[in-house]
Amino acid sequence: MADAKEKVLAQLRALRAQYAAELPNKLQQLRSIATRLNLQWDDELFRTLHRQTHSLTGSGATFGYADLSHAARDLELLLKTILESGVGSQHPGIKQIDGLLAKLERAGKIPASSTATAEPAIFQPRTQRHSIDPDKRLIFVVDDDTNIAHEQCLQYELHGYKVREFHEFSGLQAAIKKDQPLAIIMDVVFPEGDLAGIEKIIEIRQSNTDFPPVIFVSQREDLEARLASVRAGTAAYITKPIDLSNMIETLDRLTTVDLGAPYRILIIDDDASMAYHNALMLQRAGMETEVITEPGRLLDVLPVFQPELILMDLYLPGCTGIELAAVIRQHEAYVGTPIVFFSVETDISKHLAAMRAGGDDFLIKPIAPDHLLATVESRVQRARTITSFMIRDSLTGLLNHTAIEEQLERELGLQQRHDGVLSYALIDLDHFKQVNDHYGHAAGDKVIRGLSRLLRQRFRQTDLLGRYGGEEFVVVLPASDATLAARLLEEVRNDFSRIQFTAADKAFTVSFSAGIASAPPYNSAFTLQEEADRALYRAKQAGRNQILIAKSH
Amino acid sequence: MSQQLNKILYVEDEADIRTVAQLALEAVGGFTLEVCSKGEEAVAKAPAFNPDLILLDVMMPGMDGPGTLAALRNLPSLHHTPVIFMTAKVQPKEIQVYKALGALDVIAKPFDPMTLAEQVRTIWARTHG
Repeated sequence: MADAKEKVLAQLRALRAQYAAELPNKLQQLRSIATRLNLQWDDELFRTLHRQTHSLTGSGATFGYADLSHAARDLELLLKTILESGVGSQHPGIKQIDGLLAKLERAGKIPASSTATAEPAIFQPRTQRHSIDPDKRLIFVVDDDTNIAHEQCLQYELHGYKVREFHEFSGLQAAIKKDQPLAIIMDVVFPEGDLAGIEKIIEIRQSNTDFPPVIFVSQREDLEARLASVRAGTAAYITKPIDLSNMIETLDRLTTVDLGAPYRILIIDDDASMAYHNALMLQRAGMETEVITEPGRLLDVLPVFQPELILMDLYLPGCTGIELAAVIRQHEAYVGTPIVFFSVETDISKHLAAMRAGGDDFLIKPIAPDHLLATVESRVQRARTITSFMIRDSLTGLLNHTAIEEQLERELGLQQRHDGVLSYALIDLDHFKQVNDHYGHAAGDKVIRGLSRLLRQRFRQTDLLGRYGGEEFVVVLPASDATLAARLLEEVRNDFSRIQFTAADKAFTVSFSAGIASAPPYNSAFTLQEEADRALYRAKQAGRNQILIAKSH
Repeated sequence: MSQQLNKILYVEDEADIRTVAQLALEAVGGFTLEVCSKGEEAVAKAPAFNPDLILLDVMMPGMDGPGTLAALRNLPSLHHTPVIFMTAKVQPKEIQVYKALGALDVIAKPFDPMTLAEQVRTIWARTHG
């Protein structure tokens, strides 16, 4: 069996080689048809052009020429539009044929990915959820009232914490030292005394240098208790009865280290070995990189990769880095993207010209790796902070409507270039209006924040989380098919529906419904949203508190 | 109802893709294949071959996939032979159109030659397994 498979693979390799050899001919043929059409229009010839382009779309993808197939697809769609218009040479789109054909020819020079049958590792659909190691989110709860403590702990666990309960002080010190919890929630009043909890912490802390943050909880609202807690080095003081949302937010703040998505750096350098060397350097620091060695590809790469910083050689074939920077700055979306030049250039006037064109920094070759890293990191970090004010929803910190739409387009572009899969989930809180009506808007906000934090906790850094406003949320899951997306969301749905919210001393729970659509088969942002919305509607109709996948057939 | 899938009539105008699919279905999948490059050819060969399943490219010059299907359905012995379409443009609306024409399913191009046969079998099992 293994032999037969090997044989087939060998045959496929031979076919690929043959295809590669014939490709220039095929492209040449397209060009000559286009030239003839330019001279004299002919309907039949135009149909041939369309057909041959179509065949490249299919065969290119079959043999691993993703870029070629993609470019052929663009041209094919244009030709189809013209064909269907029936006006032939009068169609305004005729003028675009040349440009798309040129793009196709360029794409034909990009070698096929080595195995048409195996996708690059990063686009392999994931099989497992990537989440924080549960052991890493261990917290201690110390309270002599076993009932209250137990009820609380259940809620913390629903929010993704691993909780250990202590009902007395014995064993606490040793456990802190041994298991190093991320935080301690400590009652103040114990049988030992009205401030016993605080005193105990002060006592233990003296013998521990690396002590976790402590949250004191107490019915005591007096200054004495609060002062004592401050002296004990408290991280927070929360009065009983505990407002769970408040507690969870405090816990999150104290225990989360936000790693963020990897930085995306575009490197433009005609010296390929130099470019990949720098790329490697940045990758080792955990960044994502894309290398362009030919400036002509810039406009194709920009919208797909959406770099957060551009690292560019000052001298490039066909144009200078300064000119290219000016071109980048003409695009509204990249006005704020930091551009860092590098060159052997030491002439100060060149530096100034580079800055005027919109460059942000200048590095002199050869660049020390740590200098490169420091420059890139600090620039991207600052750019992110500024952007976050513009693209984040102020209540939840999730992406806002505009931002999620933009990011979705980007992810779709990536998914299609690599024949990957992507899922889109639309989430809507059930009967949310009633929450607002019964418990007030502050309670409603709590619910919205509660769901957003649960989403943030359960999905990968590379998943996109957004709020469309109101009670509608979006999750975009690259490299996940609908089944996997549904499974992940199902866990979230189940946990969320059990989370207790409190308002005016009343406890209540809220559920949500969701609809999921995936690309393929829904390959545009519009159809994804439409189909997910339809599935969501069905979920609501079917009784809410459930997740449905778009019917694909 | 459980019916074995063995003979497949495969229609595709693009020679390169035809070769790859042939490998995928014959060598990998172990099916018996009748390969046609045109709809007209398929109509001519189908009655004698008597396929269990027809695999049709959608976009072909001359007689296209749906056209070929219509012509095949005119033949008495091919009234009910299951059909799967293959196309690069898998738009949800298109899928619905093809299914309305009586197709079991639509396979997206490019297909993975190592798993195409499996894909066909899965679709088959869903409806005939």
